[in-house]
Amino acid sequence: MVDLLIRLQHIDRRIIYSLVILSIGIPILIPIDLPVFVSPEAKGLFEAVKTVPEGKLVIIAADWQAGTQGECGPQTRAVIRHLFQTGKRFAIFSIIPIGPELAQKIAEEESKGLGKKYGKDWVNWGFKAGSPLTTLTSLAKNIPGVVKTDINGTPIEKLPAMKNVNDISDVGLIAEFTGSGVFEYYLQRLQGVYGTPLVQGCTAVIAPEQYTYLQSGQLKGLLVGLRGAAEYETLSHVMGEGRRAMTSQSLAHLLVMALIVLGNIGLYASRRRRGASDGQR
Amino acid sequence: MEKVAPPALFQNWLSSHIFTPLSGGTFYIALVGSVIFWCLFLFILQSLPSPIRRRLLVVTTFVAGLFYSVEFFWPAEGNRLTGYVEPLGVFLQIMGGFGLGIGIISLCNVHGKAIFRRQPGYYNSIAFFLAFVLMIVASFWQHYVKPDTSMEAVAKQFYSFMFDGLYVPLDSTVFSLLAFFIVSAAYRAFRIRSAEASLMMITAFIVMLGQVPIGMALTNWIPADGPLAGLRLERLTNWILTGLNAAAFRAIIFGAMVGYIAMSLRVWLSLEKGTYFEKEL
Amino acid sequence: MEHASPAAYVVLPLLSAIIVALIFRARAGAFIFIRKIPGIEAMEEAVGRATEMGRPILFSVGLGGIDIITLQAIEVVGHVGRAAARFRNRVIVPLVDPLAIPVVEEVLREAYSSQGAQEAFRSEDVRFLSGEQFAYAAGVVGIMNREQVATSFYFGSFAAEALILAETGQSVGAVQIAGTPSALQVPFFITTCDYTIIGEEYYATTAYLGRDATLMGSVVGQDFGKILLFAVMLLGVLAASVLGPEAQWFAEYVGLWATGGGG
Repeated sequence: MVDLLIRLQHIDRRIIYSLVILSIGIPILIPIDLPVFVSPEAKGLFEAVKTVPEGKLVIIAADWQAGTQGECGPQTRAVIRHLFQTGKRFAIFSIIPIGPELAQKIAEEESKGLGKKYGKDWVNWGFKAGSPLTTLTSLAKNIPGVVKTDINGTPIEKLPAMKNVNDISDVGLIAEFTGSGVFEYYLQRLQGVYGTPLVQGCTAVIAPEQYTYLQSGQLKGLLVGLRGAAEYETLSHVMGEGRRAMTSQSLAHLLVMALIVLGNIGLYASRRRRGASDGQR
Repeated sequence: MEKVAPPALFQNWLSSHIFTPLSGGTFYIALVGSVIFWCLFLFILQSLPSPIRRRLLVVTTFVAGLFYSVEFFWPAEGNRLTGYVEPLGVFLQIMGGFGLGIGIISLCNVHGKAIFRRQPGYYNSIAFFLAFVLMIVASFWQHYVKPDTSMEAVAKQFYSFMFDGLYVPLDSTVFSLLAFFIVSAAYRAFRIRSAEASLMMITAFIVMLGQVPIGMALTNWIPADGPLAGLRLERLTNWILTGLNAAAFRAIIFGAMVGYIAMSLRVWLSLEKGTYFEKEL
Repeated sequence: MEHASPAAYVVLPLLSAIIVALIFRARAGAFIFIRKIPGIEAMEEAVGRATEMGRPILFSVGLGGIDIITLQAIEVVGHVGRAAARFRNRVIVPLVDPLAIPVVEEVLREAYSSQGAQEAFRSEDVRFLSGEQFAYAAGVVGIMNREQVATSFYFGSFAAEALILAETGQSVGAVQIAGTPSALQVPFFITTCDYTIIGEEYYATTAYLGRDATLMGSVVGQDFGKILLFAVMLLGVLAASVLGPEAQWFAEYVGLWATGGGG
């Protein structure tokens, strides 16, 4: 029995990975809707979207890539859905090449169910090459001059959603979604200079660093990982990817804790055996 | 709100006399002339004695850094340098783009040698070349294919296969490995060997439970408005992340930033020491 | 902020003056003490271990381009290269930025030449993998498994791929030493690496290794700079505590001072 307990310290990696697959995979096949507590930062983001002034544009900065679409995708989808539901026009934009394409797919999927039209209810400015700092500085002063055409090559002035959008004063909110450190560009060149409200959806890995901006008031709201998406979906009364994944995330967290406890049981057992054998000598 | 800066020093003259877009024969003459000029310049630079080359490098580094420092400290109103920030940023971006060529040469060199010498695992290098060529073909084809032709659909399907079918899932898959690695790393690392380790483990447990619905359900019975509301797992987690964690992050970031400033100063003033910085020119 | 705020006008020149003054003081011969940093002390031993096992060393300089953080990492590559060259061992440096290739190649070549081991240097050991984060991670994981590296160094700015690299290093049995100013990745490195160098210790690494007066003076300057910032913070906290939350004028004044009127 003691030998078995001692072996708990060295559980084979393959067993651990198999348990991870089962704990995440099974709830995906059998989804259970668990109640989600909404954090103050998610509420802050929801309120910021809700209170965007009439006639102002929202910028969805999709600064995420394929690797982080597991977390940033559902967050972007939840916010885009909310924008569609509240009739607020938005523009997808990014300083990372792949982001606009991925966000465009999300917007197209969400627009179908809500009868929204591209060009009228939303536009996609695409990826703007160049130094992010200079791009954002120029964008703030002259949006049509920097954007020029949308992701399909259509001149921006031909799109109804871009009517009366000239500079940063016509933007009511910047919602930035990212898994990397590009958020500071928006803080430096837009929120910090013009005071434009800024909210963020980020991966759980980088979230600890973002709380400092939340506390200082530079960020009006924050969605953290898949849980953030689940919180936003709860506020929007929608059963989306985030809420569906909460059971998987819960089981995975419980698995981690169980493994930690087992590892420590093994450590304790081996210490006791060592202590007993030292005593015998 | 932002104060408008006047045009930069000599910017209008330079834009209308030197940096004007060229076309046709003038463009090719200018291109050849630039190549000859810079080859001559490099030749002269190589012929100079080493101490003079070093002095030149020190002066150039100092002037380049001085530009950005002065531009930053000079107030926006009346700033005669801000106008150059964007063109310089674009110039640096173009220079950086040429670096891609170095990268491609390096990749072809390494993998080409592996195939040529039939080194162990050379089939991976064949796969690299295959993927490299196919992705280039797919991207250029879908961009340049004649619209409204039968090939347009084929080109777009091919691109979609390469990007949506291969690249996006591969990128997501590598990121998803983190889920497995976090579990195995936590299992291996969280062992109670000291008081600090115990404290860290308890904190980790609280935060992990507080992030998921199953964990939050454990303290759901505590009234949300009562005096003990702070003991609800989600509130405790929020306090740990926004209070303790944010403070610790700020402390680390302050230290790292001061170190960053110190090293930047050393590089700018050419005081930096080391193999690369003290190399004989 | 696009331009300096009132706080930046005061703090940045003051910090710079302190750092430069202490550099020149150290160059004039003042005695400088830097406490022991276990991670840096262990570098030589880690390189020796790789040589004993007859396996190469891997050195990742992170995801950054040619910036201050990567330049610091490249200096450490030089030190590790010199130690490895003594034993004619290989140092494999996978890169994210192609512009770093000639820089790292030159540093390593110099390191091997200084130890009379030019023939042991292989230019294909300094290789560009990809500009994409996870493609780079996948490439490094592949190198670690194929080459069965005995020692891994991670110095530079890292993002989510840090744990992928470090955990793979664990699985191949490598001794791992990490140094990064990326605060977010520190926990991952601490759980997987044998030694981790955190925050400003990262910038003290070359000073510690080379014991050069300029670098040592700069490290002391950094410490004085931190003391200055700490004093300012303490003043602010005391003032806010004494004045209380009703004193909105104080919060507005501090905001104006810090941001110059922007958001």
